[in-house]
Amino acid sequence: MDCNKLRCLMDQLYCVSFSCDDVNLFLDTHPDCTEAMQCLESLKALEQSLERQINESSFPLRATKTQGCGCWDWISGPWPWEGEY
Amino acid sequence: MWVYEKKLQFPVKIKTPNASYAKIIMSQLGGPDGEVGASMRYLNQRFTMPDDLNKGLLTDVGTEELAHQEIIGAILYQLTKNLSPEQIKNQGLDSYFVDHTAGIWPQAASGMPFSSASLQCTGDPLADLFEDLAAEQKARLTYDNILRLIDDPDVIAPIRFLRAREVVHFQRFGEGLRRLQDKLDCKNYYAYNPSYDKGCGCGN
Repeated sequence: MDCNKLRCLMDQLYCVSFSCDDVNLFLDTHPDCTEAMQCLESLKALEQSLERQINESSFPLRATKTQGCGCWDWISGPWPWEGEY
Repeated sequence: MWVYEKKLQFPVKIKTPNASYAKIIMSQLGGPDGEVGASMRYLNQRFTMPDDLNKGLLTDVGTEELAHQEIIGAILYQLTKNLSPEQIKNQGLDSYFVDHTAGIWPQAASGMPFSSASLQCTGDPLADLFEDLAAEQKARLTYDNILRLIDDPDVIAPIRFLRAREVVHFQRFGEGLRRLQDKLDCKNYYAYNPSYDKGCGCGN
């Protein structure tokens, strides 16, 4: 795991993933807003790309995204509250 | 159901532990207007919302509040790491430490344990949404008070983020309330409960 690469990818993911969360809430109360839906589609594509890069280079972000390395690396640290990424 | 993503919604990287900060910030975990209460309120109110919009909104805001619980937990964890008993005592956390060591337990800064008495799920969507607007303001002001009392930029960053989210949630609940009110018969505005009384015609 290259720490600088991981931190760089995580910093981007924090921004993109949060933006998805925010647009999601906006759409809940503006379900007819096509502009917001298009915005979310672009953000989701970016989010999926970043998540794939992190899953493949560092650690699985979800239990369903382990990479078959022969060990159950889902439980391996660091965990999000430990402040390492 | 829920899926867990192994990252915080906003990063927490605190270099300097400080038990006196933990003492007050813990109100945003288990206090009367904290994130545990917010998530329990919204995730349980949603069952009796009569319209899809508010079922969706309460599900999604409630889920975000679970993520905020996690951020507060991370803040408290990092603020209380590696402190000696002397530091804990001098920084005012000894009465918490005796029961919880450096464990993370939902309580208010006053020591009151988390309680559902600080929230309501009335089963009346108007009452519930008005409560949610108030809840977001109470959470926002609690963050304002925390910001008055702390000085460390590593702690200020996630606290400011969480405060901003309360303001946005308030906006969204206002919209959810208005959308619900738009569907109600103006002659019977408060005469019945759209979630319980039949024939009020205010479903989707």
